[in-house]
Amino acid sequence: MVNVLKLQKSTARYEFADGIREFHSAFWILVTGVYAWLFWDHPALWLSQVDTIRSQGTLFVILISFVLPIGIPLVISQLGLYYINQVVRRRWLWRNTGFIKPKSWVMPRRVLFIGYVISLCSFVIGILLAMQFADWWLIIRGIYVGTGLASAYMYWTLGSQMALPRYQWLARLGLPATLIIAVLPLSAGLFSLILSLFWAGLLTVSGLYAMRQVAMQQRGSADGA
Amino acid sequence: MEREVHDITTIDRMIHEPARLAIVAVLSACESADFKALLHLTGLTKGNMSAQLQKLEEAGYITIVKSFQGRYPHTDCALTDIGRQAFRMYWQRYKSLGEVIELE
Repeated sequence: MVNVLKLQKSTARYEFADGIREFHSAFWILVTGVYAWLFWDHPALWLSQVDTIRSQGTLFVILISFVLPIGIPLVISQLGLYYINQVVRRRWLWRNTGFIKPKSWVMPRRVLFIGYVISLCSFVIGILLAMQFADWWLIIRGIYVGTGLASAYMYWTLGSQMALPRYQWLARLGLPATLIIAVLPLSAGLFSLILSLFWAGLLTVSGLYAMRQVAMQQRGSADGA
Repeated sequence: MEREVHDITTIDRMIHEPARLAIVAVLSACESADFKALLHLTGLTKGNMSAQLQKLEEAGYITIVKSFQGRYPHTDCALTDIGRQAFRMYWQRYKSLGEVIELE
């Protein structure tokens, strides 16, 4: 008897089984954390660019000063990561088990929607707290805490739906850590950086664990063959 | 009762065959899968897989794209819109039959 639901779950899980997606996410979280830290805590670095733009005043200068230094590294990184993923998967991780192109919407839309709602609620709470305590940095914390909570929810849900226990562990560790880091007396930039470092570290460990499992399976199937 | 008998007799036999059902189930959960991935996920033999893929392609339920990756042949399969619709209808009918049938 064909277990259709089990086959569909195995197929959907295939994209997440090797840990590559965690490395992707870890990289982007780290990049945003570093950029946020530089932006909030080291304004002298980019304020000098603003002065240059003010004195020059052209769109071309704005492009050179801001868009290119941020945009080009991000685009190259994204393309580079994509290329590495394809090569690593085709030549190593998926060499014996074949290649699958996942659906465009990997995360169920209902889960994404609830994640956005969690982020929005946290942002609103941040605004209310900022108005109450006249501390506008609380809005930044609200955004990051919301992102952390939404990520924990999405990983928990994905882990449950696809029978991926390590995703549930990401949620179990990520949720309390996000709340603890949120109340630490840190500057906005440092808070962003530490939260990003934590999540990136967690995702990297999870990805390495998954990759090791897949590598051992590949070695096992190669020995058996 | 007549409707249930009609539903049983008119079930899509192209999809209902177990090997083809397994292939379609896998392809329904992704954009495309290559031959090796289908073998890995369904557990079918190479010969059986080739035969079933050919039948599904002839029925218009899947597309098969053959290419080379380096020196190695590569076969990519994907459900067509007709195939996705057929699987959706098959699965709805299959579930509704399951609700009607009672086992003692």
